[in-house]
Amino acid sequence: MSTLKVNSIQEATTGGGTVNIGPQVVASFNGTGTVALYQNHGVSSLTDNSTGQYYITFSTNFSTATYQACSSSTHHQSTWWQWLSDDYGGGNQSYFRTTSVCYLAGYSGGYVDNPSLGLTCNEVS
Amino acid sequence: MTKQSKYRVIFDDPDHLDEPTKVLVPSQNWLDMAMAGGLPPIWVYWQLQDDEQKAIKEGRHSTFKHDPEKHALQWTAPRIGPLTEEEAMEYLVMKDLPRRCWAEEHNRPMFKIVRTEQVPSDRTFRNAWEMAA
Repeated sequence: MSTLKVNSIQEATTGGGTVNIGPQVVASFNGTGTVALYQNHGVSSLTDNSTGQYYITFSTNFSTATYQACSSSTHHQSTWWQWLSDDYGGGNQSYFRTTSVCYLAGYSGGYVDNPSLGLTCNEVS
Repeated sequence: MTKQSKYRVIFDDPDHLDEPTKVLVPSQNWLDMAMAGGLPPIWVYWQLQDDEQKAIKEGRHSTFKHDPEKHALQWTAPRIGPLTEEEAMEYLVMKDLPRRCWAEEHNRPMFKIVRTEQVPSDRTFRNAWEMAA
């Protein structure tokens, strides 16, 4: 079996945008205790800003700050954190994101540390 | 959990000294790449940061797009060669910390590279953390 290796594909007939293959940035981390990355791709660092507030810095900058960003965080102090939580599921795109940094947080009336947070970012160039 | 770096960077933002001390956690994947010689010269990132900061100051961040040639240098600029883990941490400070933390003089250090175990794991009073002298 042969393996096809590409970084992006482009629509041939209408000259549409280039679609990059897979998310360019993926990060999951533990925001409690000793804050640490679980898994990451396209990330150079995670910054623990304060209780429940973090930001991810990318290995390489996106070309614009309008890339798609989606974050998730889990329920705090609950055995249910291991499941995708209804309480803390989903996330807004960070208003403060730049081409190299995206912010994310755990929030429930106030900022709270979460045992599992995630961020995925994509850009179609 | 993936392999973790033995280092952390604790830092204060000189423009927001009322905020708690921040803790930067390096990606071990990124450090491995740095130690394998996969990084471009640091000015490649500074150039992009400068252009974006200019756009933010001029109120055109929502339509800002990096110059394609400068943006491509992240992949096309000649690599700087393998770094030690300590050199990679210094590079990361210059890449990921606000430049005002390390490039300007202050009456005390604004950042420290520490070992992971020196950062408290009890976060009960996280918002009161301050960098020790």
